[in-house]
Amino acid sequence: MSKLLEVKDLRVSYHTYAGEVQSVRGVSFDLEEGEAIAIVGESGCGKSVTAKTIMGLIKEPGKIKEGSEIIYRGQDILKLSKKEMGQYRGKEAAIIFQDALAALNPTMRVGKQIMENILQHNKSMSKSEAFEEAVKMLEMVGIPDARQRAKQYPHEFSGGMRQRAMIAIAFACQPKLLIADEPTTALDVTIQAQIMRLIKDLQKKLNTSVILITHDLGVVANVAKRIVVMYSGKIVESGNSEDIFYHPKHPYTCALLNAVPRLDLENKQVLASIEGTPPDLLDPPKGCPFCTRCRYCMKICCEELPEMTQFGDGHQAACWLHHPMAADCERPKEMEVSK
Amino acid sequence: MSEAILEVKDLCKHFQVGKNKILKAVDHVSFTIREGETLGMVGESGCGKTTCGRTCIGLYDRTSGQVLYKGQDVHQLKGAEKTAFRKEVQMIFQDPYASLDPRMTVADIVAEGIDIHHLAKNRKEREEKIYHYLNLVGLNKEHANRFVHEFSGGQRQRIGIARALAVEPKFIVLDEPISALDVSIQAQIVNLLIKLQKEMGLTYLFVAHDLSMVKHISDRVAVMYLGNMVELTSSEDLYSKPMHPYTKALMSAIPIPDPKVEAEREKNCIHLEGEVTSPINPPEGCNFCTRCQNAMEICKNKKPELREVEPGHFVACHCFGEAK
Repeated sequence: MSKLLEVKDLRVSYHTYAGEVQSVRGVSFDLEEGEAIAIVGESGCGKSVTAKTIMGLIKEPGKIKEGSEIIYRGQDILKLSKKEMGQYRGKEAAIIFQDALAALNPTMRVGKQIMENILQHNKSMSKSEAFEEAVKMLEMVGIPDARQRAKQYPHEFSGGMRQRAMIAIAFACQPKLLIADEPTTALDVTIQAQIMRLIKDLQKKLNTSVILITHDLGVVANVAKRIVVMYSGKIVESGNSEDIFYHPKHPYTCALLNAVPRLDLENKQVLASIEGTPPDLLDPPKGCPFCTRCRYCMKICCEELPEMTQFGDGHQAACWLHHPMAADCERPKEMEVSK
Repeated sequence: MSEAILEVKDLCKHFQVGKNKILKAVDHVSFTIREGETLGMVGESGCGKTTCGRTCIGLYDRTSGQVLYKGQDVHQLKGAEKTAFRKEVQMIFQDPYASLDPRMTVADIVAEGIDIHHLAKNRKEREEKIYHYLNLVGLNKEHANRFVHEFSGGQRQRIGIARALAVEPKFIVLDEPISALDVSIQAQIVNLLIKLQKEMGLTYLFVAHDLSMVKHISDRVAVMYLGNMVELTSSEDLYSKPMHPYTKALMSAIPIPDPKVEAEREKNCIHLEGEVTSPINPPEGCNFCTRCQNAMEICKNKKPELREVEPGHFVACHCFGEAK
């Protein structure tokens, strides 16, 4: 398989009246064709900003720093002209947002919103052909009576159907890359299951690469082959999903996994919460960003940034506990090294 | 067994949404909440769980039926009795951004109830109380004079909890208190709620759509569907042996943070097709019959009643009907 997307040392800052907010601070990952990866993290960790940068949607006061590269099929999309960007967006890469009602145009019929994308990228197509195509897309995402529905407005759709309509728009030009930014956060469990199944089916059928962005580890378990865990603008751990779930190597990942209540847990047991809040990105800490909330924090953690340690098979984590000098230090039980 | 603090008898709340259109948000629901317990209420959006919670404490007028709080009809209360009731019963809202006044300081928000119910004799006592409750929910003195926009979502939810606790309530309705928060912060708030319940002997009605959280915090769980209660039982029973087909489907839709278990779940999952039918003029028979895999002829014509199938386990489904 060949690489579809490579993100190299991405840095994005927002210049606000209070100073420079460093939302993304050196993120690198890659994506192969037809692969699904997930970016997991709390709100404010920079996962959505990363997604928007890949779509070329960063606006003032946001600024992508020098040295950042996003290579899509051998081309740096940060250097594309406005016209080339228009070609790339929608045709090559598409995004679906969390809040479908806010993302859809309330004054435009749903069918027309799908046609808009199709006509933009197929100049030779007539309007009636595009409408037929739009109806076909709506059928593909499982909307009943697609022909009638295409003539309705977004407010006449339910939450789950709006999300389906967004997926129809995103897939209208058969993009190679789909970014799903918290696609199910606003939905019920049952509808969430339906939408996740739909994204997974379409990914397989059309061989699309998917970047799934979420804060819910449960959602990603069976969708993404690889998982990237982000914290305060940095990647703290990445690896394939089995490694992340069964052999996490960063205290933050362990804590995230433990914070989700499991059905097999005893009732009213104290949940392993992560105390405190993420650091302020106006003035990011010098050392490991997780050090203030980490139960296993050492002196070095507050002073110097940990390097990525490799564990093979692409599994890597940035934590001082993996330094040879910290071999005897206390660590989460998931991270214990078997001797 | 402790005494019932809230008794809901055959409660209906209908909204008129147009000519000849009635939205039956809550339709003939009965249950009791015992002192010191947590009753979880789950269901998809639009199932009437929030309306039910709000009607129970008199924020909405009822259409028919009765809600008794310690033997008194909530909707008949007047004057001093009503004031006393409102001191004992509090609510915590879903959206910590919308439920706090942006133009008030945190101290004033927390003290609003204290002022209304004259719980502080003087300025000094008022201040002490404010600090006490902020402390209780994990905030500190310095936060008292700030405004709401300076806080994160989790902190705002803590302010909402402090405001509810400040009048020393007995019974709190929690309307999706954690669904707007991050996973790590959710655990913090749930731990706080459980701790406060133990310390202050509170009774909770916990309304949410997140089944795993509801299971964790509740003693008993009620499942709602389109304004009806379809199952009510202890939380262990509900998760170990759900009976109603809707409950089963809900259970199997919960994603599990474990790839192997998750792959297994996906195979055996009961896929619930379609969406909730409109609560405006709902079907004649069982509300769930349009999506139910076991739907029989009788389901289309007759509404099943909530009946006790096993001790303490109530189900409204024809599958568990006359035979028992």
